[in-house]
Amino acid sequence: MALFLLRRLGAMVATLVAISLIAFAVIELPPGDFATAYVAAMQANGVVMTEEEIAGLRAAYGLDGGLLERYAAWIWAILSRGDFGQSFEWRQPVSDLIWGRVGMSMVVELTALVVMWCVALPIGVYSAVRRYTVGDYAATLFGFLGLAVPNFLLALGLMYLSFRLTGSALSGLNDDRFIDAPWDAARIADFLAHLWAPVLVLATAGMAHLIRVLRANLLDELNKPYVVAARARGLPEGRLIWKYPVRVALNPLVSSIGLLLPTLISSSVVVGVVMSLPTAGPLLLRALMSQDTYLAGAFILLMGTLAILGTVISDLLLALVDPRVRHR
Amino acid sequence: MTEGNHLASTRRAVLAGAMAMAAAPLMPRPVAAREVPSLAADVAAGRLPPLAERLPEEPLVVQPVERIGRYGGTWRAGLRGGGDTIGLIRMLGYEPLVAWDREWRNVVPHLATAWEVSDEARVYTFRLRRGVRWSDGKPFTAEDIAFVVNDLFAHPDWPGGAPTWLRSGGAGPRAEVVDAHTLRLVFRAPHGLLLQHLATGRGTELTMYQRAHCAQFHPATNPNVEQLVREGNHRNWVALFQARCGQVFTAQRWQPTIPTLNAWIPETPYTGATQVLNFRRNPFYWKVDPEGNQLPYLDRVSFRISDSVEDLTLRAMAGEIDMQDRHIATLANRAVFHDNRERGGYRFFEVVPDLYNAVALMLNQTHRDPVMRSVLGNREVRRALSHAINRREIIDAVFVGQGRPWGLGSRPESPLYQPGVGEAHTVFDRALANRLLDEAGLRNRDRQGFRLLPDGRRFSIEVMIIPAVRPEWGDAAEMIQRDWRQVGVELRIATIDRTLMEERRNRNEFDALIWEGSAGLGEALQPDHFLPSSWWSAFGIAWFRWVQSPTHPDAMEPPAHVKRQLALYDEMLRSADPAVQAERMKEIIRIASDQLYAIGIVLPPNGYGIVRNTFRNVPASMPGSWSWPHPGPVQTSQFFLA
Repeated sequence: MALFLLRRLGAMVATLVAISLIAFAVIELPPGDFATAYVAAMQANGVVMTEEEIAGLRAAYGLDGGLLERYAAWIWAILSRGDFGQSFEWRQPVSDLIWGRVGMSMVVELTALVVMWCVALPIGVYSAVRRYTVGDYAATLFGFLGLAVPNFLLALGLMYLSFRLTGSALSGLNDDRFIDAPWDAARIADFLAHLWAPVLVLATAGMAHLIRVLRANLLDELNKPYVVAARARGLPEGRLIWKYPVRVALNPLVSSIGLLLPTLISSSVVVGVVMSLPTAGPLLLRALMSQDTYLAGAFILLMGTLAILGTVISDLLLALVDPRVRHR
Repeated sequence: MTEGNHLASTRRAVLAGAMAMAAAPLMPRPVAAREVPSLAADVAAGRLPPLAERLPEEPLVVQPVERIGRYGGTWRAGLRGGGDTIGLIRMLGYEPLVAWDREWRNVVPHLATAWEVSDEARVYTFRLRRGVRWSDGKPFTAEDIAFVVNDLFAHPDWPGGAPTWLRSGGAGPRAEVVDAHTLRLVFRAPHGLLLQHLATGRGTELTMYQRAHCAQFHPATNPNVEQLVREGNHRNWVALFQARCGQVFTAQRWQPTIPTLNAWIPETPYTGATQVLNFRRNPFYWKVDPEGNQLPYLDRVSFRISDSVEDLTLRAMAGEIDMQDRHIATLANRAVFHDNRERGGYRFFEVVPDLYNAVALMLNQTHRDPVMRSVLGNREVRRALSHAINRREIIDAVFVGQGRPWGLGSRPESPLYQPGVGEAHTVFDRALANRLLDEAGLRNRDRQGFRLLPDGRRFSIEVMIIPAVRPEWGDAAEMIQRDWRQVGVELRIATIDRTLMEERRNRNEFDALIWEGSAGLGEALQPDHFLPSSWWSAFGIAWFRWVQSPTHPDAMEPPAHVKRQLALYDEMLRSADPAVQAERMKEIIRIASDQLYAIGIVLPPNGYGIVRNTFRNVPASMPGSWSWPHPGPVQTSQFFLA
């Protein structure tokens, strides 16, 4: 087991290095750099900059060095003193910018995840056990609708509905007057009053997927001999379903939990933008668009790290459950 | 240097104090001034000096648009995404030395009350308003501006050096402090457009740094700067300076700790984590209304920072935005806003864009290929191509019928408007186009009916467009392509990335490109399309090279009509007289139109903004431009909530 762990961790470090290099290169891939993106944004505002000013900008941001040179400096700063560099756009240390937003993302996505599981689980079980009933068809319809309607459309629809019904747009995670306030009871209450909308939007799409997978898995299990045997021994139906086939049907879902880690930050990009949430997604999108190398790089690195961590956790869980994996 | 004084001999006061805010002559110190209610408690407690000690001896008297306002309230609006600092400058940061009037006709006194321009416009002497204070109570003097000009712009480390608008003869000016309230700017070469440039959004860069505060972060005035650089882990002193004292186009400049001359002071720094940016009134603001009430009327400003236009639009419709046109006033939103007027309790105001055209197609007259150069450089060919376009159809199909056929020429709202110039060469006449092309030696055609160049190649033009900048360009280009096909000219549409487009343009390796036609109101401030004056003068990149350096290998000597334009522009720079400048600029534009530097399609219709019914003193119409950084020159400090 120790050797297995060691091998896994070694692979993890190697993958991380590769991810960081690719992340950096991909951000640098589009023609131009932050200076050109900045100049374009300025021009959209009617501010025309000259070649000299642009050259000055480039020098001021240290954009005139080579790709590898800048990558090396960036990685060295991260490894040696945890410094993720400065955001070009905000001229602030990247770490000052991302952690608050990452935290907010985690809160929103985790809530959405919990809601998703709590709702999807009973529905999935119900629609498998009561296959081809009205309830199953309703759940299926709902599921496919949730899967088919893009998140942003759902968010826009919800915002418009809220505007028509209550006269106020449903966006953000706090009322303006609470935004710079301390997290007291009033602000938390206001936060919860805002939280349901993005959570609903985010949960709906995932829910559909979960319901379908659970239903299919459970259907496979329901006809297995152990279920028939348990039923023949007179076990009450409810207890039987929840105790045996559901637990087995959940297995493939549980083993993919590791993959959920990076989505805790990244899955709400579009919803975050549309609903103007102070989460990581909008900041990442903006950083990519303005070619804010270090800010975007830090995000991608973070997401890569979470993905790898998730995979390692999955591997370890699997190894714990299934001895064949760790001996191979 | 008294009001309206014209000295004919060696010096001439071109414009002086008298024009303060149109109708209002410089009044004697207004009396009856009462304390601002929201500041009364601070004054009573001794935390703030009384009004009389806060106001300058000669405050700027701002004529309200509608009426005298009342104190209190918050201006709510929205900013978008990353560092919308241009929006902040426009709404809250327009405090230049000299300003535009509301009609965009004249430059009027602002932080400077009078000025004198030497012959040949090389030396400008400004008299600064006495007793103006920064938001921390320290006096504003000529030293503050001399610091920016001499210690920042002229410092070898300062990125980019002096901004281009401030240069003449390739270099920035030298600032001389005559006394605390008299500043002299000495240029190497004539700079007759300085006053106009000072009144644009860029001009605010001269008045955003308080010397007393900023000198702490400058090596010339603080020998221990290196230590601060190290402590703050900055790249160099410039980075330290910009982090602590701001830089004109970055979010960093909006910090509570940086003294300002603006009407409102930020309560928290503007960073990537900011969700709402709040401002409170500057107790030392230096403007009053005609009754002597200190401005601003509004106590607070609260800008929601949103990533989504939809979010801002819904907020506006819900009445949660008091006044705004940025981001939300799209063509598509107009109908929605119209339908929700009563519900949201707002009205419209008009924004006249500083554009002469929404589609300006520029043919490269200095093409590297000599055959293409002789054809695209032929005025009759350009005329033919212009007459071959059915503009009405494009306007109906692409611009939902809004706007009128237009070529190259000032908007009717512009003081430089000349009847017939913008309309020239815009009549759809396929027969004329065919005849002109035949006469130009392009009679022979290939099997597919395309005309052949004199050397036997097909007459084919590749146009570079970036639909990301304006989605209409792609559709318009396809309709032009179809129209030109009818007269035997091939148009190939190259959708291209912006960086690549600029690179090909600057290397002079392109046939044609489409950009928006600017400027339509502030022509002299952005003359790119009227004479070879920048990299955006895509009709003659090699001529622009020649202007910069006649010996450059890519330079081409321009023909007589271009040289005439350059001479006219030179006269504009040597004369600071707006009347003379207007005449010269008109002639430059006439030549540009006559020579079809750009083939235009449509005069862009007026835009709009929305303003709550209770939010007053917003004019019904205003220009929309960076040269007249709307709504700044309206004087946002006189907005109030009824």
